[in-house]
Amino acid sequence: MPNGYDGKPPDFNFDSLNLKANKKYIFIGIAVLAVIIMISSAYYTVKANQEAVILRFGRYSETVGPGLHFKVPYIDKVLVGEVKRIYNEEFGFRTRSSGRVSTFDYSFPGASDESLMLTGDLNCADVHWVIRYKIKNLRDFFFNVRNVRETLRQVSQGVMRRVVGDRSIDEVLTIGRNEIEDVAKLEVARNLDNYGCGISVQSVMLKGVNPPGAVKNAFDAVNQAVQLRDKIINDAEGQKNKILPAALGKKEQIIKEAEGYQIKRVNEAQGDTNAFLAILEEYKKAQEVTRRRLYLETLSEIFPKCEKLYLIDEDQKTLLPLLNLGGKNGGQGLDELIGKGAK
Amino acid sequence: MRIQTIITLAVVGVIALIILLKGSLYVVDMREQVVVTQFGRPVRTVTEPGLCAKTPFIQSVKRFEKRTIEWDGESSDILTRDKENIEVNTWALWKIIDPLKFYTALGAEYRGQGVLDEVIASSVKNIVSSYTLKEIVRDTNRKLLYTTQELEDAEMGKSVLIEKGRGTLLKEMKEAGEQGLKDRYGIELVDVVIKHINYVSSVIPKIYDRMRSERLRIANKYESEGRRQEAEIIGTMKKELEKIESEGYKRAKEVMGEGDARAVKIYADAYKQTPEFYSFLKTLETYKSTIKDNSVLILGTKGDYFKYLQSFDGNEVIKEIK
Repeated sequence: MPNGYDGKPPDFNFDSLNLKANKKYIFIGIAVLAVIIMISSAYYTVKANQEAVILRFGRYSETVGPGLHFKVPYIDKVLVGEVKRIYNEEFGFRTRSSGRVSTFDYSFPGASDESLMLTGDLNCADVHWVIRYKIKNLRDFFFNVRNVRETLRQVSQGVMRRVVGDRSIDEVLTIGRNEIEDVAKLEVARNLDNYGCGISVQSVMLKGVNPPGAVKNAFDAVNQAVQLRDKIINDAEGQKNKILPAALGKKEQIIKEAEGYQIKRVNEAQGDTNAFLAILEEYKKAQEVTRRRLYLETLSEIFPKCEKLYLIDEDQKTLLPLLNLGGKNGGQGLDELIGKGAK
Repeated sequence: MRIQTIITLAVVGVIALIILLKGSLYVVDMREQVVVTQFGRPVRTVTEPGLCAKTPFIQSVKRFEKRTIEWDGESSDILTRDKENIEVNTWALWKIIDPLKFYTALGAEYRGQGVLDEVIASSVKNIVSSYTLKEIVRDTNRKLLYTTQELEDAEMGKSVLIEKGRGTLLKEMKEAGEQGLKDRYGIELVDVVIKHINYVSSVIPKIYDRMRSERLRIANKYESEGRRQEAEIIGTMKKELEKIESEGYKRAKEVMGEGDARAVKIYADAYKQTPEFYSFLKTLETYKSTIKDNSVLILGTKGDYFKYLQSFDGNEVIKEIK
């Protein structure tokens, strides 16, 4: 047969075992096993980010750091805690997956119980926040409060409600956020220290504070109104800034024009008078002749322009006192003619 | 045979010893405290951790939590003094400080939680219903801050003076609950926390309506504030404009008037030397400018111009010229 069996199992006879001869080895085996079990339960390792608390007969004996340690089996109890780790507690939201692009769940069952709170002016706000904390004293952490994590969660909610309850909706949504974080951190830490939780609060961070969804539009409307107000004011200022400089320019122009007018008037006057004085100078030399010449020159300039010229002899009071000098339409009444001439 | 008997006895003896030790020695952990009972009757309590002994078989050990324990309440609807229907959810921390009393009065931890259910719920209800909502929401009389005056004005109407505030009321709740717990049950109430407080869900839509109308009112206020400032700016602008224009007018007139005055002075200074000659020249000039084309002139024959027309010798004229 290929496998060396002939189809029947080999006969097994208990008596055939030579127990007596092997007795010594069995004892040794048991002893070795016992020693191995003893040794394996006599040491433990504490990882790099951990510390361990040792209880001997239930009583605290020491806190040890990372490394390989020995203990007395069955008598020492080892409690390990990650003291270097930063723990995260989320309120009002849960991180569904964290990574380069984290996704958050804001509507898990009970989310609004955590996040919806009343502000000091009795408005509602949806507040989401994260607390980071760390174990600062492993002994306190294990032995003072039974459920440290739950305590932190509830105290944090209580504190946040109290802090938000003492602030306006405006502070909660915008200006007071840093202050809220700081106050909440101090308050949570103070409470947890009072209970002796053995943890230190690293930070309280507001993740998002919003007006409740149902009234979000109204809050947006306020922001829009603020922008509208600013726009209206800016437009008015713009108009003012456009018109006033133009008016100032216009003013300058008018004044400059007036100054120009002044210069013109003075220069003209000086020109006129200088001309007059020049004439006067010459006039003084031959007064009578110059006077007559000027008179005749003027008349010679005037008469050619006239369409009609009537001469009346003042001594003659007859019916025809008129001399028509080259007029085309003779026989006109005196009144009419005088009226025409007066025009 | 003798050796075998000795071995057997030894084995039995060791086993009996182990059972005896197991029955008489026990460890009290840091996290627990113990009541030792004898046939159900408590004989002593151990609150310090360590290895302890008891009478085997007769005495037994009841272990209780030594650390601070959390209590989580049900949320309950309470009407405040100012008739606001709110939902309050409290949470508390407590501790067994007298295990003997706790054991005899309650026996087990869950019964302790049950006692707290009643005690805290009633003290919370009593206190919340005898104060206004503001007293429970606000903690102190801290001045609420707003980003703008408009918002502050809008919310100012709601501000009231807080007499006690949440911190004090929580302390009162704790004190009211504490009474009797210690003496009767050996329980210490460490702290009471309001973990949730809000309007009941049926009222919330109304609250949202109120918030919405308040916001819209504020939004309108912003817009009208903008309009007000706009009007002010435009008004100021018009005033400025009038001022600038009138100043320009005033200055221009002054400058022009000064020019005229100086011209007048220059003319006067020159002409006053020979007023007669000036009037003669000026009159001639006026003739030139006033007598236009197509004018009709009517003149008397006695004028100088026609002197020679009537008398050929013109003696008078020559005489005059001389």
